[in-house]
Amino acid sequence: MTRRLTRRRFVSSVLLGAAASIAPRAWAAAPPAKPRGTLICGWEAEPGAFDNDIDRGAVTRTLLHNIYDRLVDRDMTVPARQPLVGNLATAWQVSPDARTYTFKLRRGVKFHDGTPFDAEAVKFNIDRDSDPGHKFYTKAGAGSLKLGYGNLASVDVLDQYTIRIVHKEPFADFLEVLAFGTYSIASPAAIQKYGNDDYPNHPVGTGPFRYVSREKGVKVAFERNPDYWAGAPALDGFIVRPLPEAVTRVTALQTGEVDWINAVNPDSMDAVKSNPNLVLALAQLPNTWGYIPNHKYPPTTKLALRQALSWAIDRETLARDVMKGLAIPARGTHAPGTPGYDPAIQGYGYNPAKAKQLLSTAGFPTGLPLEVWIPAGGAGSPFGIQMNEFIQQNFKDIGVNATFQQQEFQTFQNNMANGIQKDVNAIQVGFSVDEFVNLQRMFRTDLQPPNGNTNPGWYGNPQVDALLHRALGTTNDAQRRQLYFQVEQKAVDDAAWIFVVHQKAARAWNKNVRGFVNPASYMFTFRTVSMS
Amino acid sequence: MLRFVVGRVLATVPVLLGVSVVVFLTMKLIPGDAAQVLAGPQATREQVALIRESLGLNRPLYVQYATWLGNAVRGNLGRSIELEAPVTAMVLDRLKNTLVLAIGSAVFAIAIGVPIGILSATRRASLLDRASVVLALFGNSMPSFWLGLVLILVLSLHLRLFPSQGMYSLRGSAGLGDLVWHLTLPALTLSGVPAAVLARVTRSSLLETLHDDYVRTARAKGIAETRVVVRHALGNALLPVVTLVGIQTGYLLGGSILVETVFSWPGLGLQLYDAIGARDLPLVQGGVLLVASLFVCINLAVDMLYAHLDPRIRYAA
Repeated sequence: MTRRLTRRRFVSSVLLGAAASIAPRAWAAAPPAKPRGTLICGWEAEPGAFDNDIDRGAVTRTLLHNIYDRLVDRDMTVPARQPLVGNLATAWQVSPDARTYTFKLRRGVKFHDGTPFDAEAVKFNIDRDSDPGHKFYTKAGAGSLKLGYGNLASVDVLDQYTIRIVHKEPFADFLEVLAFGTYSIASPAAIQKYGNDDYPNHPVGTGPFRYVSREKGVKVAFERNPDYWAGAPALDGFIVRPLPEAVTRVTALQTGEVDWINAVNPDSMDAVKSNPNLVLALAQLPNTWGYIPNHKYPPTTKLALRQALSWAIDRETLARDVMKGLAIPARGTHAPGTPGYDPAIQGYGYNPAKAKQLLSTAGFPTGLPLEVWIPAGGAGSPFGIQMNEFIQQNFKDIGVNATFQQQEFQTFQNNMANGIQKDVNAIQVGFSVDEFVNLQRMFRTDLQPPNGNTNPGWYGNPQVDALLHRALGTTNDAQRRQLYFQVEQKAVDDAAWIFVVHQKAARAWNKNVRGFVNPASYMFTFRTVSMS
Repeated sequence: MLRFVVGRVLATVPVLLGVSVVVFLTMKLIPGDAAQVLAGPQATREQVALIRESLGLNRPLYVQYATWLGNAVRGNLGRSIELEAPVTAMVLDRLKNTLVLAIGSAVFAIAIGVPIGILSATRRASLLDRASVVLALFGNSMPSFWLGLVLILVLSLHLRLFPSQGMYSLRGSAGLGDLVWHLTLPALTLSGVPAAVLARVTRSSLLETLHDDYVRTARAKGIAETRVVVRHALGNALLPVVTLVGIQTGYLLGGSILVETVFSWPGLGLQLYDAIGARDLPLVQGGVLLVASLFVCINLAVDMLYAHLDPRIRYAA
């Protein structure tokens, strides 16, 4: 009964969400306009260059959200289930076949260099990353944005503030893809002025903060954009200070040398928590950590075996004790708080007796050996080794003797591109699973290697393929969500992956930092922050 | 002398060429490449191939090496993939900061190592001598990142005497005083090993010299012991120490990766650390080549200095 009610409430919220995407919501209310100081942030690595269209990892990509806007965006001023909102587009129409997208653009917006934002600017950005004939075409950009711009039929400027983008195939997930950081809109004048090579050192967007200067290894400085269309940020600006050593980063926060830090190391969490001048906050990341079984070669082709392995893992203890609370048990593909999370999916609990029974059903009453490959160097988590060791013991408890073979990270990636081979039964992965479109990449039969490296386990289910295909052509958000939820449920039932945990990130700041929204995302914005 | 100098300079050419081959191949032999990193773990093969082509990583290895070496000889070390900037300017810029750190460490190493060496040589077998042996062993064997973290926790976090990171304050002035204040902890950390080595070498060299005939003569003339040590013995005893300071400076340049990372000191070491993490091949190659070349040059300079100070070296060579 409870479950039905939850689900009904959930569906109604989905419908509300769908209505919102047709008449896009405005951003959250603008913060007070009085500037209040410069925020100094300790970063866990030196950020890369600020190309608007290349993914240099989360440490850089989150900064793109502060410099640039996109046509549509996930509103990072909302802590969880960030709604898809109009950003540089104020409204859009999607054709019934999900191929044609017509965007009405925001008027009166200027890039940081003073040039106007309009439909020609959008076309310039898209052509630059999709049309080899474009004067400023970049192969790296085109490679990076292939998911969104890789199958375009045309990009037409209908008038100064209207643009039409036509895909060759139905692509109902296009809006979600456009909200990804690398679909940021850059100033065409700046790209023309600096050229493709030098532009990333002079990034010019329309975002809440303007890039000021950079001393590599020392700092990157940003200042408030006083003309920001959604209201100028409360800060004068912010400075990013790369502090790769975790203990140094926390110490710098404790001594007041920096005001805000990312990626607090687990060993320092208690010290930060007990300091009355500091705030520690966990953020649920759109991350899924688990194992991809080999669906092509036995014995993991047997459903009962995959289910047995799924029931054998004590996720609660793993998340609480091994990962020190920096994770929650995974029931399926998407973490709570992410837009694709379905609370109705129950997944697998911890039930060794049931696991043993399923193992017998699969034909292995006395157990069996398993060969699992894991990536070296963190294994997708700061606790990677301990997690794998813990699960190895869980498997042993039901009679499965798993051998974990570590591989250098890049070798591991290359092997994933070729798919899991005959002598390997599963691989361990830590994937970023944020939008529904990830399900297309994880579970489509036609994206098995060599056509892609996101389904290395050779998973294939005609029913799932049909659902995924229908989802791509379904423009009604609520209906599409339901299709994707069905895919998730099927993937869980099939034990397509052995879902283990969704990881969290720890961020911390000084008490004089106010208004920081800690979203369930790798991304965040300093637009709402002020300092007292 | 000229023949010796020319011979030594020419001998560095094959060494540098060897260094370039090793630097280039090591980075190529590591699995994966910058294209894979740029494309991200969830990219398709097509995406990676496009990016690889845009970076020229799809060309044959010897072509890539020849192009790279040709450009390097002309001072062009390529462009950083991750930071989109010329590598030569980037590494030279960071070299300045590493030199500041290396000089600071050398000052600490000399200020700590030489007096300890002198004291333990002149008070041989005393408690002080034994303590200095233990201290030197400790300095030589403890990992620098560990010492750095301990210094941060004690002197920065608890006593609030020094900043824990960086070269300048991000708030307020950034003058010479600020630089020295920031330099203290990393320089002290980095000086651990060279200070220990200097202390040991100074001790043994001075002990040897103190047994020389001319020192005995000086003593026999009734000169005060302090004067014997400082005016007569020390000058000669410090000859190997001078050489050692040169060599240790070379190690300081290359060996500062961990210390720079712990203190976020914006030098070559931290740059290399970041570049390796980002698989930024041109930047790693450029940085390692620069450090290796500097090391070769410093060794060359030390050889020449030694030959200048002790002419017997030339004849032996």
